[in-house]
Order: sequence, then structure tokens, then C-alpha cells
Amino acid sequence: MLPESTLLTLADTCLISGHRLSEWCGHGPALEEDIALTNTALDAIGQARALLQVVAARRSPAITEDALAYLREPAQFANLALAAAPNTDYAHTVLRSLLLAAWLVPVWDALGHSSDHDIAAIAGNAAKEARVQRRHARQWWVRFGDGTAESRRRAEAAVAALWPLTGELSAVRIPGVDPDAVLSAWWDAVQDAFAEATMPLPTAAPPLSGELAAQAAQWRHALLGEMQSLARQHPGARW
Amino acid sequence: MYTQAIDVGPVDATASRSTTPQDDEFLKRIARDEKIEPQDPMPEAYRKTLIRQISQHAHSEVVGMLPEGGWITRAPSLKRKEILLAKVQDEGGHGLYLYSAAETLGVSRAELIDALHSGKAKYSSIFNYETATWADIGTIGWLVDGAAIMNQVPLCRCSYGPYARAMIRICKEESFHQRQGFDIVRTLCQGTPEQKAMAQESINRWWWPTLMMFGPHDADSPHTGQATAWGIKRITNDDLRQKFVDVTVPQAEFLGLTLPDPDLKWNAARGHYDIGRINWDEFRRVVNGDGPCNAERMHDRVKAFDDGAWVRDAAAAHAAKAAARYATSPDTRIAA
Repeated sequence: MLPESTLLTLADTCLISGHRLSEWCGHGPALEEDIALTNTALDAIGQARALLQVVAARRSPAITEDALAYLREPAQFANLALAAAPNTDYAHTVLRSLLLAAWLVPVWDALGHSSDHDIAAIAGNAAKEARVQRRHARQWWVRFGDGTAESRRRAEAAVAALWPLTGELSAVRIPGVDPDAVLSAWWDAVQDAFAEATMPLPTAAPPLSGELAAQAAQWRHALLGEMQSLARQHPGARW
Repeated sequence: MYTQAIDVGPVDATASRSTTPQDDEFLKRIARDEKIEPQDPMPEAYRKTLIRQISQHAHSEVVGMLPEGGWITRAPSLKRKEILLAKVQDEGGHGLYLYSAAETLGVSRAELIDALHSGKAKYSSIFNYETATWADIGTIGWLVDGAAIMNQVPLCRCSYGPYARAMIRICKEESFHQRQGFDIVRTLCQGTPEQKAMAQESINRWWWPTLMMFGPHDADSPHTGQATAWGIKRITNDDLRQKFVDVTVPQAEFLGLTLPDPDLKWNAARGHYDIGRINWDEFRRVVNGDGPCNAERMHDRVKAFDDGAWVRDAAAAHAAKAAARYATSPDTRIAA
């Protein structure tokens, strides 16, 4: 069985990125895009639920997915910093989705062969969903890089804000998953999208600095403060 | 959700009395219960009336994403979060079908959205009320979507084909929305005393605005006759409202909730519930822009549209560049 810390890294990354995507619902740049982005939010939250249900059932005594999502302290969350980055504008959202999904696709592909059968089953479906998210984000990334002067300026600002957070990806270790293969697949997908978008590809980001990690912790704290607010006001209530 | 029965009358009463041979044939087709399709001849007033009704309906769906959307990030369980997200997404989808249905009548989505943002077009005033608590998410599903279904099911038989077909799918999804809302309220009523109080307080605020969704009393709806003759409106405002009340009162009793109307009582002679007097002053005030959240809703819609302008421009610019590249070199990839 995969260790709980690994499952929480994946679950929390999916939950927090899904939450961020859900913030767009009703506020998207076009109706079609509002609906499409909400699909990716639903997929990410669905992946998080599936993983949290496994974690909750394996605890002794068993707990619930909601106890993990709503009652853990922010410091106990194990998400990638990138997932919590604020939406800022649509270029930031699209780039965050591209960078995360490009990493999740090879992770889910590898976990699809995991001997932890509960996780392999989740990964099989999640790999398909992550490909949809990667394709969707890539299409918009190309439009922004190769669109108008303003869209390119916003794309560049998104790179400046988010690229440093990718330094964390090389540090993630998942038992049974070759980190070099994951990173290589991530680079290929990102490089391809940046090339098509005519955007210069930055060099590999260094490991996350303490300052950036503290910033990411603040993002997560604020996000969870909102997400958990009602559930925490009514301890023990069922919804 | 649904635009209430406002402005469903003909936009040009004179035109509606036209008796050209083509219009006679149109009325015969309506009498035979045939569907009118986009390419078919139709009186100009019928076309304009439909554009107004369908676009009001579309606007209501899209503005209706806002009051509930505000609770997606605070939904108290992951299951509720997913359901609410999917539900609000459905409303966006309804808006899309309906704008498309309106476009078959020769108007563009851009024109319709412009009319909404400029304040020229109306949307259902129910969305100008505040969603102050989580219970409001349940109440909107149970009561507001429940009222919407009453209004919408007859529209599946509307004389205009594209609208009728859009409504069939919308009604299926609204039925899910109504049930999830009832399920939220039921769970609250079976929960802690605080949760039950939250449900009761929410019903107190939403009951009367929901009844207003059916529109003015029949005696005050002078255009109903024409809309009925054209096969757009099938059942009157008061009949629909009565049907809603008759279905909902036993549900509230089952939940142990009190509907905030001291005059609500069963009338054995009529075989229906009687209700108290609806505050039409409030209705008119909210329709005319002075409800609790009118300004906020319009601000949010216009902001989303304006903030998205550069995104839409980028897509158009990239498409033009890609098309130009394709024209000079057909091997070029058009889309990523």
C-alpha cells in the first residue's frame, strides 16, 4: 500500500487546485469556457474525494473524507504549492492547470500500474481526466502566447509568478514511480506547449525557497479558511 | 431556473392582429399543434416576443449562477461541493442552449448580452435576493427550482421548436436540481437545532419571492391571451402558482417547516390551498431594479464579461493568425 503521506500529497493537490478552479464558476470569460473549466474543477475534486476516501478508510479507527478535508489544520495539508496559487487572471489559471496537469498525467499513468489496487483504479480514470485538463490548458496557453500583445503580456506575468513554484516538482517522491521519468514527461509536455505558444521556456526552477514556501502556506491558509468556515461553525453536524 | 412571467406579451400588439394569408396559415399550424421552426414564416410580433422571452430566460440562467455560485467555495462537505458545482454549471449550460435557441430567430448572443448589461433586458428578479446562508442553497433548489419546473414543463410543448426542445433537456436537469435542494433542506431539518433553524429562517425569506416568480395575477396579465393563442404560454400564472402551492405545502409539513403565511389553509370547496395576499409592491420594486442585490448581480456579470474581453480577443487573434498561416502553408497546425 502506498504511504498515507503520498496519498495526501496527491489528494490535497487535487482538492486545492479543484477549489481554485471552482472559484471561476459563474465568472468565466465566456459561457462555454465557464462550463469547460468547471468540468476540470469537478474532475479534480472528484480525484481528491476518491483518494481521501481511501485514506479515511485506512485510518484506524476509520474517519471520513470530510473530516480530512474540513477539519485538518492548514499546516497538515500536503498539497504542491503550485495548486494553491491564486487565480489572478485567466492566464495564471491556465498556466497553473498546464503545469500541474503536465505533471499529473505521468504520475497517474505510473500509478495506474501500482500494486496498491485502490490507487491504481483511481489513477486509471484520473489519467484520462488529467489529459483533458492538460489539453484544455495547452490550447489556451497557445492562444495567449500567440494571441494579442495583451494576452502575451499576461502570459509572461503568469510565467514570472508561477514558474518558480515548479521547483518543488523535482523534490516529490512517490514510491513505485520513477521521478526522472515523470520530470522528463513534464518537460516534454511543457516545452511543446511553450513552443507552440511562441513563449520562451525558462530554465529549470531551483527548489522552493523558504520565502515562496511561506507564501504558498499563506495562500493555502486563506483558501482553507474560506472552504472550512461553515463546516467548522457546526462541529459534528451532517450536511 | 426560469425567468418569471414578466413581459411575455406581444411586443407589438398591432402586428399580432395582422391577417395576411401567411399569418392565417401560421395560426392554423398553431391550432394543429405543429411546431414552428426557424425557417418557417411567422408573424414579426411572434418572433420578437419569443426573442424577448427566450433571452430573458437565458439571462436568468446566467445571472442565476451568481447567488448559488457564491457558496461553492464554502459548501460544508465535499459531496455538496461537487453537487453544487455541477448544478451551477448546469445553469450555465441552460443559458447556452437558450441563447442558441434565441439565435435561431435572427439575433446574436452579443446583442442579447449587451441588452442585459445595459439594463434594457430583464431577468428573473428572484436572483436579486441574497443567499445569506447555506440553507438558501437548499431552499433555492427546493422552492425556486421547484417553481421553475412548474413554469417550464408546459414550455416543452411551446409552439416554437428550438425553445421547446431546449426546455425538454432543461426540465430534466431542473428536476435533479429540485431534488438536491429538497435533500439539503431535509438533511438540515433532521440535523442539529441550529441547522433546522437555519432552514426555517431561509424558508421565511424565500417563500413569498418564490410565489412572485409566477408573475402577476391573471387579471393583471393582459397579454396572456395572445401568448396562449400563439402556443407560447399554455397555463396561466395563477393556475401554475396554485399547482406549486398545492404540491409544496405537504412537503413543508413533511419537513416540519412552517410556511410564513398565516392565511395559508386548505379550502375543501376548491380542493386547493388558499394563500394570503402577495406583496406586489415588493415584486415591482425588485423587477424595476431596487431589490436587495440587483446592483451587485449586474456588477458581477459585467465585470466577468469585461475581465474576459482580453481572453476572447486572444482567441480570435490566434484563430486569425492560424488561419492565415494555414492559407499560406496548409501543413501548419491550426489548433493546438
